[in-house]
Amino acid sequence: MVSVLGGVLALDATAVGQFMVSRPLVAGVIAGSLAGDAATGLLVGSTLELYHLAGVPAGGGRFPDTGPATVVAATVAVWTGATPGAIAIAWSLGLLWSQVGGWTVNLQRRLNGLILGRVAGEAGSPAALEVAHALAILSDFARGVLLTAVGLLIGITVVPGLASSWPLDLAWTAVLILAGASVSLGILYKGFGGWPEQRALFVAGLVAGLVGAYLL
Amino acid sequence: MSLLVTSARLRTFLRTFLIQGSWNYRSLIGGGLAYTLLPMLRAKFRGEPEQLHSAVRRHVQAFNAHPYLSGIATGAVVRLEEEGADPEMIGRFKDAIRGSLGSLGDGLIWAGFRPLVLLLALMVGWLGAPPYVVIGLFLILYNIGHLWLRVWSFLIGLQGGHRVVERLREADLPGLTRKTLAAGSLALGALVGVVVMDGRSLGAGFWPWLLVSAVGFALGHRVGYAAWRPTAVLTALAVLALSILGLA
Amino acid sequence: MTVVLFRIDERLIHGQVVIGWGTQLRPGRYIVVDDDLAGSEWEQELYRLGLPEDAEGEFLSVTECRERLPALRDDDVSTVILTRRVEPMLGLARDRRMEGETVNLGGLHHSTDRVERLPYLHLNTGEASQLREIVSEGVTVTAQDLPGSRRVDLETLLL
Repeated sequence: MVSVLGGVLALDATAVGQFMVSRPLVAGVIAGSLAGDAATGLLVGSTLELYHLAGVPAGGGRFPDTGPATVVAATVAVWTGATPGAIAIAWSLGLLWSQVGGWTVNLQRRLNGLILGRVAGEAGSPAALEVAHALAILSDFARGVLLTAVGLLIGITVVPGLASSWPLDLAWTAVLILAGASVSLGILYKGFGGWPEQRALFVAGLVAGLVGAYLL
Repeated sequence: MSLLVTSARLRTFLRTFLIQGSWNYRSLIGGGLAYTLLPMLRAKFRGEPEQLHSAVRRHVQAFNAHPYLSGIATGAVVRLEEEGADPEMIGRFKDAIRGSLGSLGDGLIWAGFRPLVLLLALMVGWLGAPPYVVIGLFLILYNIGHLWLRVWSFLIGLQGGHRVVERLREADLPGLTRKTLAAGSLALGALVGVVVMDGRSLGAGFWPWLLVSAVGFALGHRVGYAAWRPTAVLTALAVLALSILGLA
Repeated sequence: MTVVLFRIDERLIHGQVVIGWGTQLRPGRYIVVDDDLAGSEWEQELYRLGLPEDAEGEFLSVTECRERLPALRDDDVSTVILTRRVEPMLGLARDRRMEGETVNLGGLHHSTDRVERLPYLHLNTGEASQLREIVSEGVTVTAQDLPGSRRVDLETLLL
């Protein structure tokens, strides 16, 4: 069931629709609630999202595959007790797994080239083209299912042992993760135009955020 | 317009949601474009299999576009094919527009609109909204823009044909991108403010954390995307190293 | 400022160039060097749509760009120069006009006579020898689709 969710989210990223249910924020909450703890799903998904926000999948370079990786991270975090250690290690597995996922996307794209070449070929047959296109989508779904299943297997094998020795509480775990995320937010700011071009709006937002959070 | 043409156009539009289904390094989304155009091509070349096969061969050639804006090319090619335009001109049109549809969409959507809506949703989440409200807000806001753009793209392509450039210029997507990036800067500042205020709960650890995060932010801003993968991998490895050290 | 990127990419002005490289290098001008496009106004209009608001775009023939190259390399406005095939870039590099510069290979896709060197880079034998000629004109040639990706030098590429 969880692996099927990973397959569906793998499709959303590129092959089908791009409704962005594959974003870590969304995938984390869906996977967390399937595992029985949407709040932990949100925590894992939103912190992974902070890292992935800066990515722009332009043209076909290698980019992390966030959907299946977030499903792995959120599910493993909940299944292994949602302790600070479980969350931290499942989260880092999710981040690394998104890189592995990106690598499998590249393999999938090579496979798609072969499928199109083999099935559709130079003949220009519409029926063959439709079969090739469907095969490419089906195989991408299978890739997502497999990627999620292997990630889950690794997670439930590795995380419980490592989580038991985790030395930080939840606040300091968040500190570590957020310090790394700040690099990604800096990259995002640069993509928005950065300093000094977007200085006034960024500072205005910063002040609004500080005051708003203080009042709330 | 006959029912057959309307139905073929509608099915062609729906297939734009699958245009990236066979993304590959040989033709990028060329196969996907040909697949998307098939309902229209079948209607146009009914009873002319050789013509149909020839059109498919032309359209499986390399093509790329942002998926949400791919409807512009799809709609325009539908119009050109229906009018019986010169195949060489259609090919040159596709070559010339593909790069623009990539860079316009990448700038407006991937670099602007998507992170903007995500930042808003993250901020709402950070302020304590329930998980389903957070993702509901993101999915609804984002997909209103997404679906509107898909429909608009296909319609202006269909109406404009190879003169779609005029409609695109009127729409001023670069201007819209500029506004989206500005709004993104505002939202990013606000999220950073909210997170910093939340960090006060760290007590004595607050200032060192703020300092490290500020240095990280400046580093990301200076180095750009090249800093992303090393940071992500290093942070993940640091977490794993800490837990292994804890074991020892 | 100077020419901040010489790139060979079939797609010319597109997301990887404008967003991927453009947000890092912040060029004020993109020049497409192509003899066919230099004379085709309607195609230029379509390509120009993809330019960022704050950058200008020009379409030049190889001869025109060769003449302007020394001035462009010493201009206040930073420039990205794009070709969609190897040959026009070789045309620019001849007579050591690009000595000390680096040519970035960003995207040449599959065709029946090309061999895959990287997923985004396919070359035929003629193109490979043209790239070697570019190197012999004092230019470094590397493949890299995006700023964050691995850079591969020509010798490794052609092994």
